[in-house]
Amino acid sequence: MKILLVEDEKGLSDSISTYLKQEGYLCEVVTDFKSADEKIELYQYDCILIDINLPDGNGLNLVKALKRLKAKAGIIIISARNSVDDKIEGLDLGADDYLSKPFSLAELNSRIKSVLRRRKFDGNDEIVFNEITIKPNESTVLVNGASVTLTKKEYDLILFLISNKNRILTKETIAEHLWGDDMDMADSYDFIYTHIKNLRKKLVEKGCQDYMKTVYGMGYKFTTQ
Amino acid sequence: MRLLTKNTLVLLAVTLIIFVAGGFVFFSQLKKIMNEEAVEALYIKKSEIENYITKNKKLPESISLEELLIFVESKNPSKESLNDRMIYIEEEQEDMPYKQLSFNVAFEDKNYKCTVSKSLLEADDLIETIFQSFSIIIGLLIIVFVSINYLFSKQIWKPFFKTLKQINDYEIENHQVLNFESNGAKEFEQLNEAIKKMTQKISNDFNNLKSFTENASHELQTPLSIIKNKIELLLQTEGLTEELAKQLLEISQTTNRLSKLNQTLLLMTKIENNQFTNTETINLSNIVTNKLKQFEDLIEIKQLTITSSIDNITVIIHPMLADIIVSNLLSNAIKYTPEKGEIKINLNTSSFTISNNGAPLKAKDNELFTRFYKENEDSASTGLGLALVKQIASINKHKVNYGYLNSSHTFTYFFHD
Repeated sequence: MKILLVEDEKGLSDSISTYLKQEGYLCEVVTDFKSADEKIELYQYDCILIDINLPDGNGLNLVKALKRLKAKAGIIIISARNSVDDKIEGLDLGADDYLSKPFSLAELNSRIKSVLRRRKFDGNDEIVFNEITIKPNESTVLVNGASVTLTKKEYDLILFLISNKNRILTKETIAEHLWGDDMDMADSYDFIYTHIKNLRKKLVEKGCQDYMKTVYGMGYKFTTQ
Repeated sequence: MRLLTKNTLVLLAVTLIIFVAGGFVFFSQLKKIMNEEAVEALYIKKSEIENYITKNKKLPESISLEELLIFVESKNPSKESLNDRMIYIEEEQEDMPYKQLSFNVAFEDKNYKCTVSKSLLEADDLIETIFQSFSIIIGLLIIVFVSINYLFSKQIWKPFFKTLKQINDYEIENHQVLNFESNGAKEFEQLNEAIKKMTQKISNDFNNLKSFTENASHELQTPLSIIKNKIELLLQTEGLTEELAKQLLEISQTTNRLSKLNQTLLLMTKIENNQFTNTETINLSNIVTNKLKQFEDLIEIKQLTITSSIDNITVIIHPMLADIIVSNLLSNAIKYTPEKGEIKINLNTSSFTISNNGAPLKAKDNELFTRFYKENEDSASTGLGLALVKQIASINKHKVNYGYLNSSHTFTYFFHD
């Protein structure tokens, strides 16, 4: 999978590309509008991450260019402007998703995966992890072929954990993914534990291994080890 | 005091002083002239009498009436003298002022003291008449001054009051530059020109400040992003000790808080700059129901009881702001209700009320709505949530109140002021 990252801030592009490379993506980084414009003319990407504020242009124009080129790449806008108007404009132009800074890398990763699934396989792909199979287009989870009845939150949770498997996900990151911005007022993230516990119970009941490890004081990790 | 009154009073005072002083000078000048006139008339009479005597070789007859002409025989020639006298006049039954000239007349070897008199009454009458006229003129002037001032001031000051109204109606948030019609009066034109320039400058400065605040806010998000992501990468490091992980988490949480604070301040700036004027008809009932659902995990874990009475109502407001009002008030209640506590929600056409039980606050009633006010040194709180609600209320001409009664905190958001 080839990803193009258009981001002028080196500190940020370094972190993102490191994370994405760890995830097994091929990640190219460009820092300005001009080089981004050249790249998208010349190469095919599976997903393009575009920062709106570039030193020499507006990232939204790259989205327009991609649409003109009828590129198949998924487009995710990353912007420091957490503005509804920018978001609407970006999505109207044909971007698949919009992420405002600061975001967690796990969140970005899960968004990329979701965009790729929709773009590449029209949502018909299946995520298979040992005995677990997730069918994103149906929002169903199977363990050893048997369907597991999950709540919306539990489904989102397992999808997020599997998308970021073998990584420690902090409770904050999980809360932000599942509940959005509003949950940051919570005193503790104990309520996440309830969902983890229920999810774990439902999976184990169907004969699934317990992959969800609690990393003490930090969060959770979906791991085979 | 009105400028007009002040103006009139000054004019009146000056007029009065000028007239009194002028009147005094005029009066004494007139008196002097009258006096000289009388003296001159007496000397003319004297020479007439002398001529008469020389011509007719006899003395003219004395006219004792009003002592106009009196001859009195005297042994020695009398000295010429000029004096003022009051003479009793029977017809008037009072003393009248006279000027008298006495001189010696030698006739047929005899000396006579001749006295001629001239009434000064005429002069006094004249002075009196002049004084009266003066008074009438002053009176008339006063009336005219006041009338002119009052009658024409409205007309004259019309452009001024028009300008004043425009300044009063001026709202910096509207980014407007005041424009004035030409009105013909140079002073007012200058005033208007100055105000126009000023509002232009205000508008420019305001826009600069606005974009500066917004840009500064946006620029802050990127470094915060970098910190957040670097920590995330660090957290994945193999063999990370628990102590280190804990500290990294704290840095991460602080970064999130900083970012949230920054976003809220940016939002407040945007609201202040009237960037949320696109109102829509919003079904508030849906928002409340959705928020309750969104927060249900928090409600559940604190074992809170929610009693709600939600009417199906709509409010005309910017959708994002409607969301913030409900979200902030509700999350505030959830956060500060003790475990197993109760939250009551009421939504009707006039207000949205949330009350929850809890210990009384240290804050004075509306201090809660002050920016950065924190009841406890709670590090996770931005201290901006309620200030934001208050600000939203104020730009929408709504009202938000806090009250504490029967161990219950109540926030009421009125959809009117």
